[in-house]
Amino acid sequence: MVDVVEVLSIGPHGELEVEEADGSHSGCFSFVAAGVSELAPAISLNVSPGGGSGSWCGEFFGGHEDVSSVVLGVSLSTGDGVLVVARGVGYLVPVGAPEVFEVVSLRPIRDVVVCASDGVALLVGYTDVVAVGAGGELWDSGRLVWDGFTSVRVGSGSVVVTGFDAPSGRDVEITLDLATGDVLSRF
Amino acid sequence: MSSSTSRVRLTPCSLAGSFITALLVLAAVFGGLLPAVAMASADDAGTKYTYDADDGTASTAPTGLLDAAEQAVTGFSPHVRVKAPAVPLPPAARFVAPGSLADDAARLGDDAVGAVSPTLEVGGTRYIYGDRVLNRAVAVPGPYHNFPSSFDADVLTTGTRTVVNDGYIQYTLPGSVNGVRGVYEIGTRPTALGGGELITHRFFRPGG
Repeated sequence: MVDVVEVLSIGPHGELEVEEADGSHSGCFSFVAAGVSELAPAISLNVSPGGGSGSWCGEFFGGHEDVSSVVLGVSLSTGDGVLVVARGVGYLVPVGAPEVFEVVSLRPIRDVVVCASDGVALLVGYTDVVAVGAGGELWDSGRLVWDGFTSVRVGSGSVVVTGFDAPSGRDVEITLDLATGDVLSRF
Repeated sequence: MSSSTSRVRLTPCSLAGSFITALLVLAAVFGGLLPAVAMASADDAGTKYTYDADDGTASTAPTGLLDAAEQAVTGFSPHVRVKAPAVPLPPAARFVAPGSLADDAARLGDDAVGAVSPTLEVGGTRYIYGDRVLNRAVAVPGPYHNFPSSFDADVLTTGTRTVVNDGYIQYTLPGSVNGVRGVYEIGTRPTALGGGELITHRFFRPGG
């Protein structure tokens, strides 16, 4: 099965170029999270920061979700970064120092929703949403729904999610502050 | 992106996600196909389920809710593989023929269950699988909504029981699916039936 890698952007990324690599290469960085199978990478990428130097390739090992994305324009404390979601497993990688990558706390990631105007990427799991932006992970919503979101909408500084709430036995609509993750309303 | 397998999307704030449409299950036959086994691990067509049990582990024919539904339609399931002798349920647990619930279901109302929903009796309590749980197992066929139904007796008996409110009780048992740690969750609400509980939520929460 060949994954379709979706490339998104949440901010300026200069001359940074990311493209899928063909097959496996020696000398690539391996990005592996705890508990992830290392039999074969979910996706392989060539990353070129621009200016003709510092290019590297990476093999990103993933899980079982049918979600693979690359988000450009992620500003990290260590410099420009990319967010790579490899079959549901997320990696935050400084472009200039890929060896100091971080694994996103949310697993599995089932969807990636970007809000370029706010510089935020939302990682959607089964019950939680994690926001990634300048500096890395911005907030984790905690459990919002009980067994999967039916919709996640972003706009005008807020996030609106819907899904099943088991204690009340019904579907709920929850509005979050995009900047903080705080719950603004719940119906 | 230069690869033909890639596509570029630069988007502003956008709408994402999709509605999951519930599908009806032929519960009449489905209930009778629930496996009468208890287990601590199961391997279902390449998916490895385990939960933390005090009495060691056992492996047997795994059947998720979806597999059972498939059996109801096709008469057999290609996923069922017997790997070890079945371990009997605890003495106090047994599955109930769904047909015996016709009168009870009628009293539960439209939002509860059909007249033929499968049930499980554990420790003197009758647990009825609600339509939502069955529909979700079909609509989201991954392992998290469809772990083996044979786990349920142990989740209900040895798991942590939390009364969340007057209308919701949650049972949880730590475990893993494909090596991902999490929690098996079964949520119920008391029904009009004497001592009965309607299962409204059944999910393995990864990382939970």
